[in-house]
Amino acid sequence: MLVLTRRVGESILIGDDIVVTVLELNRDQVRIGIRAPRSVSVHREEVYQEILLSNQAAAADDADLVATVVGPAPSFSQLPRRR
Amino acid sequence: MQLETRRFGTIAIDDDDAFAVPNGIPGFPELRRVALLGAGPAPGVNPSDESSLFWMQDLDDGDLAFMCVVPWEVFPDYDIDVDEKSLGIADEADVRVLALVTVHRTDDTPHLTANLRAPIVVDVARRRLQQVILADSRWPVRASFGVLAATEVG
Repeated sequence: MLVLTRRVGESILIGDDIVVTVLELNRDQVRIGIRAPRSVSVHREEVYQEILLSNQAAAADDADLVATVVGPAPSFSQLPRRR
Repeated sequence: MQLETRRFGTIAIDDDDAFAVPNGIPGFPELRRVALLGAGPAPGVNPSDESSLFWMQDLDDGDLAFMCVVPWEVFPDYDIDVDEKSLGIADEADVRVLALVTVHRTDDTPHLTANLRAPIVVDVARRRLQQVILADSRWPVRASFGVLAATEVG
């Protein structure tokens, strides 16, 4: 891991267009500002991990249980538009 | 193409019905091509001509499928702001949204939750989909719907 020391107000550039700025220090908390193109997704790591675990739980379902929810034979169906 | 699946046996899928998943999804970075198969109405939703449950079936791994729900069918207040431009979607009319469903078995009473925090956003024109993690923390990762009676489980 690359480790850099920065003061409040100083930034780190990642690639050409991602800027990470230290905004504020307060005891054991750091406020960080991130400027990135809209195509780059930025998340708190714990949120990403929660989504990852939820996806794994969704995939590891109980087939018998699921059969009680939906019929076993899927069919092609149009995705409904938003109402 | 013919696909051997764990849940549905052998199913025939037209290549035109496939959706690309360019980036995979968290936990499944290798997911690249899926089919979206209608699976009927969600529990508690009046049956209609349209499915509100779908299977997102991996076309490269017949054992992997995710149940999804059309979120507004079970959460009428669900309202998300999808930035089509940042997702590379040309027209808002091309957007469809699904939420991944998890079946939980607690105290022998199975219940369903939908992930409203990270919806599957589908571009029906370019036939691509991606999972988008919303910045808006109002929407839970596990939103309950459709509690099933224990007696329904065989």
